[in-house]
Amino acid sequence: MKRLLGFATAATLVGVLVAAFGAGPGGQLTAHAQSSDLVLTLDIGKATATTGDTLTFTSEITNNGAAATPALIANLTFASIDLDTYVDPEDWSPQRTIAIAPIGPGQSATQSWTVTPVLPGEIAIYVAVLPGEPELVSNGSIAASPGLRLSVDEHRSLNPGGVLPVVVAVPAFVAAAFVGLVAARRRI
Amino acid sequence: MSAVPGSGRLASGWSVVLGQELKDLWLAARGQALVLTFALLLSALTYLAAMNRELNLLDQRDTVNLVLQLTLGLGVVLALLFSADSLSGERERETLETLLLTPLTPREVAIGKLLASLTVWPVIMIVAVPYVFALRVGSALSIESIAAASAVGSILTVAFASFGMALSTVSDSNRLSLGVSLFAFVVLMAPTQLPLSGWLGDLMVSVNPVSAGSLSRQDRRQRPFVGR
Amino acid sequence: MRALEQRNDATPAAETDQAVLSVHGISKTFGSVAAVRELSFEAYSGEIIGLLGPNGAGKTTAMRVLSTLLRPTQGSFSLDGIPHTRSVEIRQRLGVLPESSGFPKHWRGVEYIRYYARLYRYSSSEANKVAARLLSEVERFGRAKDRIGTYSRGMRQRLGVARALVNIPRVIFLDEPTLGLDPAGQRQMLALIKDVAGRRGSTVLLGTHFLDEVEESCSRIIILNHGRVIAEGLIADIKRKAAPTSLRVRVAPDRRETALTAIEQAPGVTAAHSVDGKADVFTATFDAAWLGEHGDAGMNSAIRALTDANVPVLSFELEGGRLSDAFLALTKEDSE
Repeated sequence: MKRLLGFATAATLVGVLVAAFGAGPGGQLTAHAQSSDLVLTLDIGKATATTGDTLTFTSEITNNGAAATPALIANLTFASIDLDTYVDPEDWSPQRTIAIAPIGPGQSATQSWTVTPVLPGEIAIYVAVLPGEPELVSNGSIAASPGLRLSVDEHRSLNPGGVLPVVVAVPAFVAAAFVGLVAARRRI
Repeated sequence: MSAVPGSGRLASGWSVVLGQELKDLWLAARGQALVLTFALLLSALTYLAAMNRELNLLDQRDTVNLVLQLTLGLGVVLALLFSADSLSGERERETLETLLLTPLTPREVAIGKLLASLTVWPVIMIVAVPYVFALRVGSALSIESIAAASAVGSILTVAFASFGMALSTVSDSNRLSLGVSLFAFVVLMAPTQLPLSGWLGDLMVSVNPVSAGSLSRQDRRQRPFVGR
Repeated sequence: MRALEQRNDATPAAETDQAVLSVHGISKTFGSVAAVRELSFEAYSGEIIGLLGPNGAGKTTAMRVLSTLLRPTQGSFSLDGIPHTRSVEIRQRLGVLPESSGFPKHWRGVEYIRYYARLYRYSSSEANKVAARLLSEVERFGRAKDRIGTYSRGMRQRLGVARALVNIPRVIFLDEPTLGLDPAGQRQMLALIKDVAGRRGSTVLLGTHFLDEVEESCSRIIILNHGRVIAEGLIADIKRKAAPTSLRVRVAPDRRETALTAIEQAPGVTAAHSVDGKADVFTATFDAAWLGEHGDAGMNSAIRALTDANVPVLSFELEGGRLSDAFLALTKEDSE
């Protein structure tokens, strides 16, 4: 499964590059709505968070074309803006791919995404859409959303996950128990 | 001549040895220092695991797995080392002969010492339990993980401690029995940390008690998540 | 206390003349090396028997066989009529202080004795009493509750003896109990051994290099060499086996010439000469056959000759009349 997701991510990135440098006429959804007919929007454009927070946002895909789209795959993608922050997408979001049923002309589909920032830094997040099989290879054309700029600050917690009481109390209890045992033995 | 004097309740020979060994282990600095060190180690590990989980670097199952892996490894190796030291250590300290000059049979001496070294495992496991619950993976998973680790650990501890005792029986040197024990542990532990594939890998994992036990524990731990 | 009394009542103690320990032709070999060969002797209640021999003579191996730690290659022995094959019962009646006996240094003395009492199947409360009593007997420094690691060697040896006495043994094996002790410690240990044999009626087999302490404490001795018994019996008899054949005499220096002539002419004397260049000390060597005929008193002829010649005798001693001489003579003879 992970391998498939990795493949999809790679394909998405390649697609984005292709789209950025201008896809040729072959990059169209034959007999379906074309990629230029798809409009992707995000409900937020900027956000700030601290590491460990959970950020939720939605993306909306609107088919402005005259024909229905094929089945689509929406993929969440991250890019470091400061070029200094290492982003491992698997760490940042548990679900980065969503399958979307064909969208009729003039209709929209909404996807919900969850992101948990792991490291501080400036990150761009966007959603890319590409057709599912069989058009993926033959006529794959990609549409992408505008970027969401996420500024992440470092979160510092003395009590991560509420474990602090236990990690302090257990050694203290063990030490106290042994001191008690030794004292009891001396009295014998 | 009566071999049994007095009117008090008499303990069997091995239980007298066991009682003294338990005192030596748990009322002396050696055992206490080890358990305290283990608790501190587990505290550090749990804290870091919880921090990583909060950052989403580890999932819940992995944090529990980390804690129980450390517990299992340390519990088994400590029981192994204590049993490996038991007879060869006495021989080296020249205290074994006087013990063998008592009416106890060598078997009684060995049983008492083996049982004492086995107590390391439950003590270590008891110390680990609060940490597993502190990681808040849900009581069902916590209990199942603890039960699985306890079962696997008990089997491994008995096996390794018996092996250590056998080594200790035949070895004149404490260094030799401890060295061979540790080597055997590392050799058997290695397949759990190395990527093994193919039928040979499967075979090695299956015949090795440590890797087989570890696999079984992971299977049990992951069962509630199958199909996710 | 009641436990101890019961034990004493239960033992077939010194009331009979039967041997407590009977050893018949014990041999022990390690590969091709015979450590003990054909060892046979009997020991009776209250006896202290010295087991002597040069290094490697087989003393320690013999004790290890007799204490059931090693199986004899040949022969048999019994303790209180119990055959050596019933080793647990033998050990129930045996106390041993091995030569290289270690102690758990972090234990307290009282804890150590209590543990061994428990191993001899005393109940917990009886073990406490036994420990307190034995330690008061052998440990006179009031340090029973101190850690053994802080004890001197002498104190540890006494603790070892206390441990060997825990089960009120019929026979006690002490292997070099005074090794490493200062003279005061040696004296205390010997007194303790004599007390054990005398007051408790236990039989003591004392393995040692120190012939003085054997002469002081033992009634009988067994001398081993190369794993074999080369002499056994009362100390006086052993000494006699290495009977003196010469006399050392010291006279006034101004009568040296007269003395030498008188000694040379004394009956039975085969040779006389000064010792180590000292003008006033002579050694007179007697004819062995003549001594055999006249006994030790035959040596009086040399003294008589000196007094007849009006030579003042300042001191004299029989050479070879000590146990050490007998021991050396016997072991040398055996080696040749």
